Amino acid sequence: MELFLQRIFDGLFNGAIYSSLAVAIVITFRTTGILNFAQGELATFSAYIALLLLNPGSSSLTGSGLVSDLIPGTPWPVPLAILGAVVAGAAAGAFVERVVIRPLARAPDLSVVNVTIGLLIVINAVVVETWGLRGYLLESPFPTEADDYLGIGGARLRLETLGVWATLLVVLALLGLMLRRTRLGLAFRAATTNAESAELCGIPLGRTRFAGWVIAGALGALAATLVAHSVVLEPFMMIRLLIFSFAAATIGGLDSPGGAVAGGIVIGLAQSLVPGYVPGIGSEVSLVPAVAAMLLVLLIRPTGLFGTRRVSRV
Amino acid sequence: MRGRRINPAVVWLAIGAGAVVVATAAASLVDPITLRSNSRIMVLALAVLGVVLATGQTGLVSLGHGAFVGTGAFATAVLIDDVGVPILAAIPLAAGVAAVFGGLVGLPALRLRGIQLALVTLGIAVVFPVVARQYPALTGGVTGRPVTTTLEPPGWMPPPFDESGSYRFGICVLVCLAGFWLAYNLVQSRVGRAMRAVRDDDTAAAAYGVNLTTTKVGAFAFSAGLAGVAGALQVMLFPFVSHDQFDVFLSLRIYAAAIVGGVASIVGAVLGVAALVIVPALNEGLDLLENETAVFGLALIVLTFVAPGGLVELFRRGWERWQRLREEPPGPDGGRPDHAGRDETPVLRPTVAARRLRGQR
Amino acid sequence: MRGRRWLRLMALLFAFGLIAAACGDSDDDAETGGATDTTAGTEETTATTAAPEETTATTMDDTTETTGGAAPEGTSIGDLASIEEVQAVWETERQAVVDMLTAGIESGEYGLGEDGIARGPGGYEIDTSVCPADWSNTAGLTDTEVRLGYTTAQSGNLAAYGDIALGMQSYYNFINEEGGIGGRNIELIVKDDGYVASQTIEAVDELLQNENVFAITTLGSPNTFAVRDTLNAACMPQIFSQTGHPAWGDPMNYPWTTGFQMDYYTEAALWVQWIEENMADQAPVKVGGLVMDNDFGLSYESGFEQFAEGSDVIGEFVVQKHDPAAPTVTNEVTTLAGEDLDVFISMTAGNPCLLAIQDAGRSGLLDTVDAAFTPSVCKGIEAYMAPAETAADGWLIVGGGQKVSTDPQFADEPFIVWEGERLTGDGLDPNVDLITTGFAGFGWVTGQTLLIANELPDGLTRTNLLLAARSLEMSAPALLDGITFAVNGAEDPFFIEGSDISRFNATDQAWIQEGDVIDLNGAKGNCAWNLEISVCE
Repeated sequence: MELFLQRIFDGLFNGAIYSSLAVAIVITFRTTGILNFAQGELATFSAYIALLLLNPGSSSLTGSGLVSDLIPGTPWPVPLAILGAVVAGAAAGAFVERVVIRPLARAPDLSVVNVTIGLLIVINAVVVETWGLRGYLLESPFPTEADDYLGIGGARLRLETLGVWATLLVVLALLGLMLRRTRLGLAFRAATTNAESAELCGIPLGRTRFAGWVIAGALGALAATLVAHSVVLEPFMMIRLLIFSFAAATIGGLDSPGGAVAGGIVIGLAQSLVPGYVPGIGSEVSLVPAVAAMLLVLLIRPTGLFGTRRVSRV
Repeated sequence: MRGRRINPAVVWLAIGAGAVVVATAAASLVDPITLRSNSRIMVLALAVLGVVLATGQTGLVSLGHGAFVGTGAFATAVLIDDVGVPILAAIPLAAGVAAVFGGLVGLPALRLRGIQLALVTLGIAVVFPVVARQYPALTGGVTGRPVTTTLEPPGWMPPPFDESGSYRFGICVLVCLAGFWLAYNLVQSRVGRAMRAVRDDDTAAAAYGVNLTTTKVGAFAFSAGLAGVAGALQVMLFPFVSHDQFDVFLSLRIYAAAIVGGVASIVGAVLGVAALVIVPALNEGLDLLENETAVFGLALIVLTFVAPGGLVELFRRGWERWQRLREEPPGPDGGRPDHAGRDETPVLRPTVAARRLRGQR
Repeated sequence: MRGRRWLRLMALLFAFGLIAAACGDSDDDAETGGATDTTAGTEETTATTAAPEETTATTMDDTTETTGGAAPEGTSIGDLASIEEVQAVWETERQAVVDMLTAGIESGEYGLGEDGIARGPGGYEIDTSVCPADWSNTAGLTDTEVRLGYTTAQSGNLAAYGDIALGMQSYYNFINEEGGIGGRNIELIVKDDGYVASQTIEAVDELLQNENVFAITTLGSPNTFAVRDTLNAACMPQIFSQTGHPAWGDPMNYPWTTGFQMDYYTEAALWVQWIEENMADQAPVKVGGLVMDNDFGLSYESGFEQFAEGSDVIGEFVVQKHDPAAPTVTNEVTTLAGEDLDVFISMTAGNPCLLAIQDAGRSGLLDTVDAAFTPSVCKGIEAYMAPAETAADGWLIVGGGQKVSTDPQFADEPFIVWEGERLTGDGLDPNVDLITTGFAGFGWVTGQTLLIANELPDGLTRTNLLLAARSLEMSAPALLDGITFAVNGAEDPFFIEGSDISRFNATDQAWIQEGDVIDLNGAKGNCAWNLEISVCE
């Protein structure tokens, strides 16, 4: 029984990792209709900024001297470093939106997909150049000692898991509040439902899109910095997660942040439970149940469990 | 089409045969190592052509063509080493296996919107090497398998084909030409028009009587078959297959090459692959960026702005500009040839709302 | 219409022209390659250099054998006074091998016979009658050069391995200064394959066809596998392969291929040995392994299985395999934690090294086991041990038996000092592990083997090179005392089969040797690697 419970807890933790990136992806999709392949790389980049703030000597380009001179008080305490990363993520999102995405406003979708793939490649290369391939463990704001856990039924529910989930749920709640209670949220919802009419009503689509990218960038950064204690921070960190987060977002519905979280849980649990209880599928192929889950949902309900259905008109 | 007296097939055959001989003869002057490298590049063009047909012509985004190349490669290895099929016969068989796989992948395409299909194919690309290495008897598992059967020229081959490197190069040229010829004919035909109709608006196409199932699944299967041929040829050139040769990065490279070349254009496939070779070479020569992958990513981004139709579009614009300079002022229609949408960069079918969100009508 | 057709044709021809003229750069891979498999590949060549004092190794009972060739008497070379004395010892050792082989050749027992078969000690045979028609035993030798080919990763994710070449070159510089190999300078021709097996194939083809080389060395397990058949068919020596895979110890099937460094099977045998010695009173011991799902991890797994089979102490061995590309190994460690293990062995590489340690701590696995091993490739303190903080304390490792040049206790040894001088003189940093590996490991052994082969009847030939390589028994410069550096033809194809066992001290952030070195020289059988089931047979 305790093994089963432990696997549930493991699945929940991995699920949190996938969900956090998935939420960022969903926000971008929901507000701009674009699936951002580079979302993870922006997040990785932001996490490296946190690394720089925590450990100024880590970058081969800047070296400890330069960063310490430019930014006062380095190395920063963990929560501030995370904040710094979030700001960096937001800024990166803003930059990409302005420079790369906005000019393509009238371009076909395929073009934008291609651009985000190009961004994925470029940002990844930049990170490799600057920090090399070495792995780092970022300090986590949550207690992460070996004995920081709640013993439940013989299994260990790590405090870190609770911390990440708490953060995720708070973010989700704030997002929900924003969507329902603020003008920006109203703009988001209007833009998604009927962009033309929204524009006619005076809702500035450009600014809405911009806000969406900024928020997504910030969220991605938060996700990356929180998980980079359990998942080694290295240039391919998010690329490894990308397929899982896409799967999570797809399962939940590409325009539903809550769905992304649910999807993350599904994927995380599938990964920990299927190899344990389905004979013939070992952990080394845990990718297969995850992708299979995504395929299954796409076949049965293409808009995801919680996504809004679309009707296509000719 | 009326008034033509020479059967175009014959013309193409002649051109093809001529090209094979000329290319091989020229190539034989080059050393065998370069010859093999060039063969490999050519082979990749087939996989890129597959993406052109699936994504550019039919609007089905495929981020997973590396898996089809891998399927063709492993199938070939098994056929020639384990089953004892002669290599030349194994190529179409392997293509068939890949095509069947592609058809299966194409089935979900019937229900899915563009971006979702992209995710499905990405999932396949990521999962392929993982699954492949679980079957060591077929794939060599984690280590990969050396392929012992090699393609040697039959005794009656005249020079320069009597040398195995040149012979294989010649076979590659032949097969590639055949593939491109098939693709070209497909694109020109009714099926091609149906594919483009599906690409531009599949609901409308269905309303006009296009069979979505056959078109989509068939296009995907055919394009996967082309990639399978690429895999088979690769085994012929490099007698070693391993799961890590067919990872997600191969798929992304093939896709990127298709985009850079001109995703809806057959010629674009060749240009894209050429770019895959030239860009790193230029990068090394000019010493621009250390990371040549980055250069390619940049190329992808820049081209999207400058010429979404890829290099083909750049060439065409340049050509037209040059023609305009040489000719008198054009006639009423601007003198621009009617592309009939054949080479247009396709619109990945977005949701109605998403399109409106970006200000498109 | 015509205009466009014409345009297309031109574009097509243009493109083909481009392709045909493309300067041979096969790089259709802007191979970032590594996301899925980088971590897999970091089998740090724990190349060790031996400084055994005597062939009869220490702690281990009867597992060592004295192999063919006179064993030098005397003290460890680490205790000698100067590098000149060290060189003198090597000269004596080389002479012993030369004498042994020469005696055998002259008596007809060894050497290249009329039938085309070259024979060596320990039943070793190379059949040259099946070599290609244009094969020559002295190809790759010019009047002034001994041309050695080398494929390695100088680009891509594992480009750090390129440092080994620098160390090798530095050692060859020394040899060349001293007159080279009988007047010929060693010329090292390096080709980059980015650690990609298909590129290794290309690189080797270039070496075979264009570069006229005498022998080739390849780096990396998949890379060495990929060209092993070709090289053996071409009768090209594939010597001192830079990988820890056990498959290179297969002189019956692949006579032209040798390994060099301590291999994964040896490491697994040492694990078994340690458990048998230290946990005998807890028999039956249950061992759990976290295995990376690639050739690296699987060879550890099959090695351990083989050696544990006959053991009275080890009762059960359970395994969880993990995807090399996976972001975490938590699920696998959790499953193992539920198995009530006595010993946990991590058989992975790269970032999962660190993740395994961390998760082992978090899951409570470390509390229940009596011993936990991390593999030799995960030895890096900064990258793999330090970030895990207290969870890293107490882990055991088969250290690889090296005298690390930055370790103060060896800093005064004549070879280490001399190595530092030579490297610095060549503009290299002697604190870089891979560079010293190239110098004191691969460079050294190749140089010594060439020198020996040159003194044999018929002089420097490929078959003599391999005979020499299969008969080596010397004091390797940077191996810990007590580890034998020796092979014996087809009977014992493994050079280094011993190591230290060390324990990590998290407070001091250092690996502390525990007990004496364990030397299993000659104890393992040969390894005919079965690709399908990933097992030595």
